[in-house]
Amino acid sequence: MLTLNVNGQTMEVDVEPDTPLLWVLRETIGLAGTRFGCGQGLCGACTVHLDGVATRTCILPVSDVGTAEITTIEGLSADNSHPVQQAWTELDVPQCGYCQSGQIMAAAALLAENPLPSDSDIDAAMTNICRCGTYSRIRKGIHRAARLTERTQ
Amino acid sequence: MSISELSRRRFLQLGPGASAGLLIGCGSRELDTIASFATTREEQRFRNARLHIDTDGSINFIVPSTEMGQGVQTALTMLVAEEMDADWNRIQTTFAPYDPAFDNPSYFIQVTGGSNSVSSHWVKLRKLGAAARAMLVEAAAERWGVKPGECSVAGSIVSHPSGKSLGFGALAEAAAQLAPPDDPALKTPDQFRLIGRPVPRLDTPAKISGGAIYGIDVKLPGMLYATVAQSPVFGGKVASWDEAAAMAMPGVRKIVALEDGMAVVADSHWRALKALEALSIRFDDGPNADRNSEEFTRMLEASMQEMDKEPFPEAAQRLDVEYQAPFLAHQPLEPMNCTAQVTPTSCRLWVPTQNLHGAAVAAAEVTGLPRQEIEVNVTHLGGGFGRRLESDFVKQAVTVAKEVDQPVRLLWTREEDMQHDFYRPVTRARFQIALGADGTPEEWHTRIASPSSFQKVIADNFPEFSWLPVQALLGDVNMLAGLGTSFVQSNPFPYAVGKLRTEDEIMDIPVPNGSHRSVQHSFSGFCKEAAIDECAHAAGQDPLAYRRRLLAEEPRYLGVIDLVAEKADWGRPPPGRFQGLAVHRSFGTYVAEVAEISFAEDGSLRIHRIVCAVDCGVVVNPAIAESQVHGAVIWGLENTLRCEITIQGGRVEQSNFHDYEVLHLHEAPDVEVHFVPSAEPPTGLGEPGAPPVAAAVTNAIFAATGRRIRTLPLTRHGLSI
Repeated sequence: MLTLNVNGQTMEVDVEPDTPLLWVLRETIGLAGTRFGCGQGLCGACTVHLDGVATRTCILPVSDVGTAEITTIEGLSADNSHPVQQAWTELDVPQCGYCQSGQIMAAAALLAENPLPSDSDIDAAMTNICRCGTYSRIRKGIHRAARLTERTQ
Repeated sequence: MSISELSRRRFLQLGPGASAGLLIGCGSRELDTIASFATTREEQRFRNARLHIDTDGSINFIVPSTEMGQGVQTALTMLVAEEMDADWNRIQTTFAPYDPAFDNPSYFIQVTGGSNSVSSHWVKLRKLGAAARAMLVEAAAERWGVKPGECSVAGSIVSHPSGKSLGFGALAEAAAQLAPPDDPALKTPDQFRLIGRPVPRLDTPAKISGGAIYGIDVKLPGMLYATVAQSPVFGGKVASWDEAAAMAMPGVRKIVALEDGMAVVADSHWRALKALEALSIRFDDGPNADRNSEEFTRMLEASMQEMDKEPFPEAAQRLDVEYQAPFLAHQPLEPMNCTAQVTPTSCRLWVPTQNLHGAAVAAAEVTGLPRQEIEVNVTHLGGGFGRRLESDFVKQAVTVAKEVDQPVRLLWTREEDMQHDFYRPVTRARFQIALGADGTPEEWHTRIASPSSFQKVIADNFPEFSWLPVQALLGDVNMLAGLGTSFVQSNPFPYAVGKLRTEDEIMDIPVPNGSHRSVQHSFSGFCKEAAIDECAHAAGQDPLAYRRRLLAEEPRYLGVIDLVAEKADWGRPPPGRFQGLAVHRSFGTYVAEVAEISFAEDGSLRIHRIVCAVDCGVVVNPAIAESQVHGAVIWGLENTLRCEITIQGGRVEQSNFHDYEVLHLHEAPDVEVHFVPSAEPPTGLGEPGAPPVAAAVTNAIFAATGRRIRTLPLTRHGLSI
């Protein structure tokens, strides 16, 4: 039995310790918004926050998570009200949408660390793959979310 | 959308309990005619129902096409809502299950592809909306004792100048008692309220909360998890495996032999993956184990030499050039998957597919059940791009589900996806062009060689016609797109040249291929537009002016060329930057693109911006339309720059995103999209942005360096960004 802290809740999971956190979230806990894309940490579809840091979970054994606070897309906000989600709504960023949970989590982590990122900050931080080519709206969305955050502070 | 909403059974059960209001449908085969309208409990009528107006005013529209990011859920709903004058906020949508009532009007099977969802439903769905509106208005007019023509509608409310007004909900029951109009009048474009506006996408909220249901998210009670390993060498078979070792792994339920591989079923995906490793499959590589990309290129080159058997006419100037583009993979981010539940008398599927028809055909073949008894429920698609026109993974899921008592979700790894795709085929073309004294091509002779997938498309989707030698009769419908004059291809060579002659050879190359976003237009858009650029330079003329002269009789080509020239400031690039132009028509849509590039001090290529001018007729939703062109440009650009599938030892060398390097955010240039204002019926938009990209970039490279790139990708020439 392993104890995990997911979206503010403590839960016990009975899985092999080498199981990647991705599959524990999706299948054991039932939080399917974090998605599987490549299984090698290359695409970022599986990105969640571990103690606020964007982390790719398809290659992270659940036994390595320890007591870190896990935040998934479901835990980012209850009503799409996180500034990144607001900006994504304004700009209609998603196309197929499959990568967007990971994109949003990566963008939220970037903004938490760097509230007013430059284009080159965004270039460096946003390495998630989008096969639909939503990149320009993702970039605009991050700038927009930065302004939304500024306004609420 | 919850899983239960995906069930066709539940959809059919809408009737008795929830039939209040107006339920309205239209057959898919009687094009543009409306039938079977009134509220009824007869199942057949419910099967045709596309639109339900409930007594509370809520409206449910069943979207006939699958949503893979191209925005059809929103765009097709806009067509209906426009003609209804419905309150946009009261409309809910569900995805159509497998049923001939939802066939693609152009293909007569239930498939989403070829960039035609909006164009093929343009009249049909507006008539559906218009019929609903007419019946609701008539119901109101009868109640008030006025003429229907005196009433107006806005926001789901019917009004009369006397001050009377009633909502759709209050009128729905009465409307359901009326006969539908045979041919309801449609709005003219100047009357549109929704069409032409950037209406927010209906799918955005679920796609940013994590709540949208993709195939991989389907979860059914007692569901098991399967994963597969297929022969890495095309045409190979399984030779041996260690079943005992795999079955000894925790949670493993079943090992199932597939046509060219094995599947492991377990109680979790991770356990299935680990057991697959323990299965230690050995493959018999079969007859293709020594085939490779270099050999395929030599085959294509040899085909080109056939042209030497005929004399090349004398001319003021002659061009004799060959172009080639490689195999490409699709790689939608959601790996191939399908959930299946099979009993001796039933087969239910939940699957992200562009091709519900093909899924049903595959499931019928495996189960022996009649095709119409296969239940196919479609989820959101985590990308399609043509890969999900195939039903190979559906066949596997049904094969596995037959062997267990529970529903099974079969999911591929990325590596399986990369190595068992249906690739854009490797293609080579040779042009022999004779230019007259004024630089005009007096003769343009094209030869093109490529493997083809057309016979397979027929065999997979129309097995009853698989005996027909379709390929021998028609050649390949895609291969000559934009290059030839063949009657099977819809986009003939546009330039006014003296004598046009085209020949082709279908090559036998043992690598699966299929439809890849913009199909062979991705190649013909490249080689035709680079070759015409070569002609312009040989003639000493500006590439834009040269094209304009040869397209003088083609107003829509001229329209996009002139618009892109204006927006890109053609001929006046910023210092140190260079421009390249390309124009191509595909799926009925005209697209001109200008790439603006430079070279950095270290020799690396910089792509600053791609300016696009698009004539797709009426733009239904400009925001979605722009995003589709954006996406297609990114797609075309990564395939220009570095994407390439290569074959060694009969197998694909690439395995994941580290060696099939798609474009990332930091590499994406500015993309500007401009639409030609038009009242013409809409044409395709998901794909047409892709074909011009490669030539726009390589023509800009020529402008910068004098170096002509004739084979893709650019990494083969030591060029990278």
